[in-house]
Amino acid sequence: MNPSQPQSEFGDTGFQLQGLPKTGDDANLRARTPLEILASQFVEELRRGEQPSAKTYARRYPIHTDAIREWFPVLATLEQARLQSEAQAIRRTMPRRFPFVRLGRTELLCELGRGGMGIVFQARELDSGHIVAVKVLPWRVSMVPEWQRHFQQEARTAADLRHRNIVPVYRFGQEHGYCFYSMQFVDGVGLDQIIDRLGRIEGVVYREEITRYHTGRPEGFVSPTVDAANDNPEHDSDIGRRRLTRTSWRGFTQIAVQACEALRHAHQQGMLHNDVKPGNILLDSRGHVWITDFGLSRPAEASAAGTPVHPNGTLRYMAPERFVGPHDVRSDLYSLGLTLYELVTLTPAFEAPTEQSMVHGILGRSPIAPSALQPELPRDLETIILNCIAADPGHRYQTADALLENLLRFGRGQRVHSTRPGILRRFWTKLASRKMDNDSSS
Amino acid sequence: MGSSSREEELISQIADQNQDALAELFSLHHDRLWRMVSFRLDPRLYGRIDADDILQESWLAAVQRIDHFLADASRSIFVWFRLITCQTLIDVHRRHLGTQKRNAALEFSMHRGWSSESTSSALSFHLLGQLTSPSQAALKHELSDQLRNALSSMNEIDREVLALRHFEQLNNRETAQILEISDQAASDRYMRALVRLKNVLRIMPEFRDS
Repeated sequence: MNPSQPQSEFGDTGFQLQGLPKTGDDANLRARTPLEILASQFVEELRRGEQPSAKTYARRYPIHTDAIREWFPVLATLEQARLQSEAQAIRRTMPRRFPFVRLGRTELLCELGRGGMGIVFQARELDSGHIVAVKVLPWRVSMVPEWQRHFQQEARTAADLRHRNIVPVYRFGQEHGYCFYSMQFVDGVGLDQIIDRLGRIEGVVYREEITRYHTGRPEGFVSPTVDAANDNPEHDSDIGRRRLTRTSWRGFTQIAVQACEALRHAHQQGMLHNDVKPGNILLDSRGHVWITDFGLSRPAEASAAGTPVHPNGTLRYMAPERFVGPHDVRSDLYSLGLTLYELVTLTPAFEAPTEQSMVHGILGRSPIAPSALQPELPRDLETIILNCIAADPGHRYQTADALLENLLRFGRGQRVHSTRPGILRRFWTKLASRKMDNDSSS
Repeated sequence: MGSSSREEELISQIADQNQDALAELFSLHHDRLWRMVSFRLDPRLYGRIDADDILQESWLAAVQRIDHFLADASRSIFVWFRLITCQTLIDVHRRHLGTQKRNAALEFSMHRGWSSESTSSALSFHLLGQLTSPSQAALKHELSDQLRNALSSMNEIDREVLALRHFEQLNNRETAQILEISDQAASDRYMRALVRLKNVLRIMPEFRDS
């Protein structure tokens, strides 16, 4: 930013900073310490998401160099804490009942579920009468204009995604101060519920159960008309063939293949999912997989200001690099891998009482080998999972294509190979890098 | 921020007993007041009372007492609304929690805001990531807790100034009016509080390399 073009205005003083404040301009100006004026400017820039740097400020205002270096980082820390506490307040104030029954062009019928990232309603489109799902995001738009911008951007991209395994987003908008979007209503259940069900004594889920799964359906729920042509048991796949058990490796693989195809499509469009987890992968009674919640609900991660809190359910499946910096398609593959891990072992890969210890766990250690939890797990399927969840993104499948290819190989009974360096390879790499160090230092 | 010409226009309409103008003014400042209430609401009231309840009650109080504002316009309208809202907040706390200390204004002050239920998040990593250069990312996660601890170990005034400037996003003038001190004193106090906070943080291991 050009220092002679300040963008800050200091409230009631009506005073604009031009480089360093000159003394004697104005009573208010004299009254405030120059450093505090600079601090205000710094904070204003932070709030606008401009990422000012204390170093640059220190260079620009040499007489305050030491003070700026010493204290300005604390300003950013305070702003960070403020954002965090606001995000919590916004989540907390998600009302128990919304004071409206219509949103956009839909009439809300009943609440299907709620989480940290919003509430999903079943709704009816007023013009067409179609049953849809409407997700309302938890924050009031006016509170956080920067999030609203992100939402619109992402919703637009998500609405452009068209794939047989992605729940299509129809519309998005803002009303009553809330952001919402409407999407296809999928009469199915999340893998989280499938996992829960498989983990119980019987360890089996029947196809017919899936649509009936929402036990005690909420008042107002409308059963969508079943499309007879699509309701053909032979139509789809193994999963459609009546039931899933704890050792339905074929069925699990088919779920993984469909989820992976959805991710591949999105990645080709330059869109990351960012929140792949069992609850966002739906299975309908035909055995068809639907991924939902694409890139929505979360502003792009890279932006410093205004990133909302991740709810518990999401943190567990987050790739380690997402805590430290940039992430890419491999982070989605990691989350899919952890989801598969949980599907085949019926045990979450990471468990911890607090978010903090969860983060420590994710950063600090690899999960127990899936075969230790489920001895019957085919070795190649385990290899695929481990390839997805390697801590180092470089050791994972690099694209959804690569993962898909391996899943299909496994499906055909062919061998799959580890993408992670073996002991021998690690040894050579180390040796080679040591040699290079020696060469360059000599 | 600052008083726009629209705001001045509305204030002169209020003087003519125009309640719609007052409503519009209040809604102009609604979001900032909401921020203040959300920050200061006692966690024991979560689920029972929300910020909108408080603001609704504050609005009624503002209607009743608008003459006081007109009689003494030394404060900006926002600062006055905030004062009313603050009083409502204290009343609500008293009503629901039955507290009877001498100084209720101090009582609901900072502590709760800092020691939130701490579902700290990925969020904290990102901004903190720009400040420190720790090789271990997990430390950054703890930093927000450290900050909270540091703040609660400071004295009331320092903490209040930092809360007003950051958590409520007030400017120097507004802070001065709320604390009933001069602009200069507010400015000094803010800088001193910052220095003290930095000193507290310095003795915390995670901050040494920043």
